[in-house]
Amino acid sequence: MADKLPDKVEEHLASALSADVHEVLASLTDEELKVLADVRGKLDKANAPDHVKAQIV
Amino acid sequence: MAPDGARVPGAVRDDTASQTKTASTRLRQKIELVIDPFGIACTRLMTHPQIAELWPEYLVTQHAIIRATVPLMETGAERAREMADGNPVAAGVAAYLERHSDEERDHDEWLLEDLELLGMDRSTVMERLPSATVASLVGCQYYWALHYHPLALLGYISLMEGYPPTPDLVEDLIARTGYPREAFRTFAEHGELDPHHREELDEAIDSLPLTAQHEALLGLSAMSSVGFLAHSIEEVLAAA
Repeated sequence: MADKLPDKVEEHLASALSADVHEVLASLTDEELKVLADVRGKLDKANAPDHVKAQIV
Repeated sequence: MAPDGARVPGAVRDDTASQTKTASTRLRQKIELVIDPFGIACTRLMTHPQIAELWPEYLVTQHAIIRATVPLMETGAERAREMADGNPVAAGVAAYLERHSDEERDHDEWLLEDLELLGMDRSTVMERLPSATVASLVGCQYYWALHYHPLALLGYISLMEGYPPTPDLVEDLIARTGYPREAFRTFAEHGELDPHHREELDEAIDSLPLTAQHEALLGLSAMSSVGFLAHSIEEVLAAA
């Protein structure tokens, strides 16, 4: 799992993961992981300060 | 992740531990991983100070999506029937889609009637160019149904019927928009019908002999739809 998600996504999720969520994350295919990473990346960007937003791709 | 950390790109895991839950539960857990943008967009819309102005626009977008629902299910059912010989998953999908398309029939017509009560005639609604976001949301499903497996539609439906409005939200919107209660027919009816439809869908999914690859398709269909659905609401918000 950890080797498939960008670091910031993993950090975002790691703080509140239940055992159930770990299990679901571990079952995701590469394509599903891409969707998850895209969603979390956009959320990170939306919640980031302006000077950080510009640096999040 | 496998204990040795090795994964083959594109491969699907068949985790024994995950088999302790149902396929429908695993699908809903996948949706929960990505649902935040949809929840945020909905909250922004429903609590927007200009909700009275935005509500008809939201319904127009919903109509663009909903008017494709029955044709999409009929297309999926036809494709599933073609695949059904010796394929119990396709046979089950065909049976579910045939049954459920009847339950969804005419909901687009209800929505046009709601919009007429808000002063928007149906020709105006039908002439509005649907956004690329809406076309992508629905179009992905046609692709998967016709060119891979119509099981994908069950992932899409799982999302679309998974978050019905509560009675309190309906009342709040009636009060805050000042629009007549009758104009909220479709929204309110979905609040009543969707929980039942969701149970039927879960039963249908759990009755199918799904492989890990099938479950990956359900997950990908539902998870990718969340982004399009959230973006379609953001487009409504941008009109404010």
